[in-house]
Amino acid sequence: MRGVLKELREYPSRWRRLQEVVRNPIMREALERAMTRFAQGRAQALEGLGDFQELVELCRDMKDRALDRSRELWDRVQNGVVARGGTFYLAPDAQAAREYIGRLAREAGGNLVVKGKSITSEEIELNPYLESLGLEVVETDLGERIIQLAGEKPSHIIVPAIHKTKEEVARVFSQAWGREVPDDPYVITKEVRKDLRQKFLSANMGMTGINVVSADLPAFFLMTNEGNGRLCSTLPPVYVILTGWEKIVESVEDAFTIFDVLPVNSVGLKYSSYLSIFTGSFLWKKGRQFHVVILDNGRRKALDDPFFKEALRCIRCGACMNVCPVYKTVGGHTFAHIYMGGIGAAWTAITNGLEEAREVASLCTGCGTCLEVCPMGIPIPSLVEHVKELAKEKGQAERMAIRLVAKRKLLESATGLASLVAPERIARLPGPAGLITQERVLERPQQPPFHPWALSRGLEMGKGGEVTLFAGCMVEFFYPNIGRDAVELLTRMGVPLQIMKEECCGLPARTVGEMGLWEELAAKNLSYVPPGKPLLFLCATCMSGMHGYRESGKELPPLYDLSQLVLEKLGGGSFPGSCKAKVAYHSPCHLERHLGVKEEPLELLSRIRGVKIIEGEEAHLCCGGAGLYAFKYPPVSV
Amino acid sequence: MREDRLFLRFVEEFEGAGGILLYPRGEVTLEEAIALMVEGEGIKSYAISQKTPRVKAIDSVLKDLGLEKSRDYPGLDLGVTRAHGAGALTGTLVFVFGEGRDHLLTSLPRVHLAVLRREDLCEHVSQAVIPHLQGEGNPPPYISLVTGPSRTGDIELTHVTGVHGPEKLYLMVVS
Repeated sequence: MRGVLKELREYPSRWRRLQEVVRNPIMREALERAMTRFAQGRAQALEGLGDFQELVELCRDMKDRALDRSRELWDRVQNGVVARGGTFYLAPDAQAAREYIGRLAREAGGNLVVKGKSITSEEIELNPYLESLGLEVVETDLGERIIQLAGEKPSHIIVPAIHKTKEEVARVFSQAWGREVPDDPYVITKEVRKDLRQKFLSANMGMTGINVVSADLPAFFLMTNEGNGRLCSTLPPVYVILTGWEKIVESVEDAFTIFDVLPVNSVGLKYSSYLSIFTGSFLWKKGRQFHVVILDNGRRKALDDPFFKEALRCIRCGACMNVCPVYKTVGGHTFAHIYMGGIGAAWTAITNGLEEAREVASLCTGCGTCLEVCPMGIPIPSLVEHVKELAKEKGQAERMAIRLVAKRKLLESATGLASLVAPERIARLPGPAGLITQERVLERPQQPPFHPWALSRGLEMGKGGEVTLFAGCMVEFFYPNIGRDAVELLTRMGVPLQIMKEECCGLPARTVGEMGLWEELAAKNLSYVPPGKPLLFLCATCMSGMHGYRESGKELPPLYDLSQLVLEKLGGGSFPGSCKAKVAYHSPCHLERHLGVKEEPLELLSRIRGVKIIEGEEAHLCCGGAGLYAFKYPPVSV
Repeated sequence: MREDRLFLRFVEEFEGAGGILLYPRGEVTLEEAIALMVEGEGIKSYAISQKTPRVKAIDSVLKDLGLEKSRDYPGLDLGVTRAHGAGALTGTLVFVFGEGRDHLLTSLPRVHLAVLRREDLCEHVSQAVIPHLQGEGNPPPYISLVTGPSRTGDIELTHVTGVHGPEKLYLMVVS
C-alpha cells in the first residue's frame, strides 16, 4: 500500500515532466523529421531486399543458432585473437570492464583516448570513469561529440544530437573552442574534422564498439558513415574493442547477412560508407596493440530467460524507434535508461536491473508497430510485459487499479453509479485526477449496459445462436450502442447470436504485468465460452486478449472480428443497406498488428453503398489508450 | 548477372552513393581524366600506393601536373590506391591491407582515387571479400569496405561529406 501511495504522490510531478517534454517543439520537430526520413528511406531501400518476412526468419534463425552456441563460439574467438597477438578479456560486469579498460589506457601512456560511438561504453559508464583517472576522452562521432561537449545524453540512437538546432550546435563549439563558430553545418563539420584530426594523431589509445563478430576466423566488423571508427582503430598505437556477448555470429557469411539488413533497416542506406573488418592479426608495426573486451553484464544470464534471450538478437538498427509513436512524442531522453524504446526496457533489465527497466517499460503502449520493422523478429511488446511482470516493486498503483477494474461486480456498480450522477461528458475530475481531464474529456457510462439489453432482446446465455458474441467491458458499459447495432445487423443478415457470461478479457492486466490476474481471468472466460460456436468480438483488445489464451495451450473456437464475420456471411453479395457518408477508418493496434486483421474492415466499408473512405495520414497510429495508459500518461497519450 | 549489366549496376550504385567515376572513354584519355579531377578538386599534393594498377602511368601523370608527392599523409590532398574488389549491388569498393601504411591513403586525404580492375567486380560485396579471408595462412589484418565518401547528417540531418574520411571518392576502372 505504501508503494501505491508513493506512486500516487509522484503522479503530478511525473505528469508535469512529461507535459514539458511533449510540449518541446524543437525536440518534437527534430524527431519527426529524422524518424520520417529514416522510415521513408527504409521503405524505399527495402524493395531491393526481397521478401522482408523471409529475411526476418533467416536472421532470427541465424542469430538464435549463434546464441545457442555462443560459449563455444567465444572460446574460438578468444583462441584466434590470442594466436594472432591480441589480448582477450571477458568482463563479467560493468565495473570489471571499466577497470580493465582503464588499466589499458594508463599502460598505453599519454592521457588521450579517442572513441567511436559505442552504446556498450555508455552502458558501463566508461567516460566518467576514464576521466576520473585523469584521462581526456574524446568522442569522435560528430553527433556524440556535440552532446559530449554539451554535457547531454543522446536523444536518438542514430543521430544522437538530433534535438539540437544548428544554432545550438554552433554555440556548443564556440564555447568549447573559445571562438565564434558560424551556424553552418558544413563549416562546423570541417572545423570538427580539423580539431579531431589532431586528437586522432596524438591519442595513445583508440576505442570502438563492434557491430558483429564472426567466430569462424575470427573477424570483427565495424560499420560507420563518418570514418571515425577507421581512424580510432588504425591511428593510435593501442586499439581496444569493447563489445557485448550477444554480437557473435557463426560465420563471415552470417555477418554479411546482417550488414545487408542493418543500414537499410536503420536509415534506408543500402550500405553505410565504411565497413571495417579486423581479423586480430593487427600488429604491423612495433608497439602496436590489439585488445578485445567482451562484456557480459547480465547477457549470459539472459540466455536462460526465454523472453530476454529474444532481446539478445537485437542488432541496434533503431528501426523500432523510428516507428514508435511514444518515442516520436517524448524522444530518447525520456523513453530510455541507456538503451532506448521498448527494446531498451528489456536491455535495461538485462544490463542495469529491473527497477530502471520498469520506468522505461511503463512508457510503452504495446501498440506493436515495432513488430512490423524488426529484422530479427523480436517480440518487443511481450518483452515489455515480461519486464513489468518481473518488476513487482514498481507500478503498484496501476496494478491495484487494474485489479479493481477487473472485478466485474465492482465495475458494474461503479459504472452504474457514474451513469446516474456524472454529466454526459466529464470535463473535470476532482483532486489530482483532474490532471487526467486536463488532457482529455471522459465519457459517462451508458444505461442500460449491453447484457441486460441483449437478454431483453431475446438473446440467450450460451445457447440458441450460431455465433457467440463477446461484448467486452467497453461495449458493455460505455458503448452498448455498438453492441445493439451489431446485433441488429447480424439479425438482419440471418445470423442467430448468443451471448455468454463475461469477465474482463485480461489484456489490461497483461499491460501492467499482472500475469497472475491475466491467467485467472483467462481461466474464467474459457470456462464460460460455449463450445463449438465461433466467437465474435466488437473490441480488438478483447479479441487479442482471447487470442492470447492460446499461449497456454487451450483450445478455442474460431475468433472473428465483426468485419470478418460480416464479410464471410456476405460472400460475394452486397451489404444489406446503404449509408451516404465520408468515413475515416482508424486501424486498432491489436487488430492490425497483433491479430493481422488489416484489410477486412476497409473491404467491408468499401462494400457499403454511399460510403466514401477517407485515408487518414495517421490511420495506423496508436490511439494512446492501451489499458490504463491514457490515465497514467495523459500528456503522451493525447 | 551478365558482366555488362553487372558493371552498369555497379556504376549506378557507386554514383548513387556519392562516388565519382573517372572513366576514360571516347576522346578523353586517362591523363585528361586525372587532370580534370586534379583541377576540379584543387589538388596540390598526393601519395600513391605502389600496389595500384598502372601505378607508373598514374604517378607520372600526377608528377607532370606539377603535384607535390608527399609522405605527410594527414595533410594530403590526394591518396591513390588499388581497390581489390567491388560489389555491384551496393556500389561498394573493397580494400585489403597488410603491413604498411597504404590504409592511411584511403582514410586521411581529402580526396581518394581508387583504381579497380574490371575483372575484380563481383555481384555481392561479400564475394569480393571472402576469398581474401579464407585463403591459406593468416588472413589480412584489415579489410575496409567503402561505399561513397565519408558523410554525416548529425546536424539537423543536413548531408555533409568529408567528416573524418575523404570528402570525395573517385574511381578509375581499368581492364
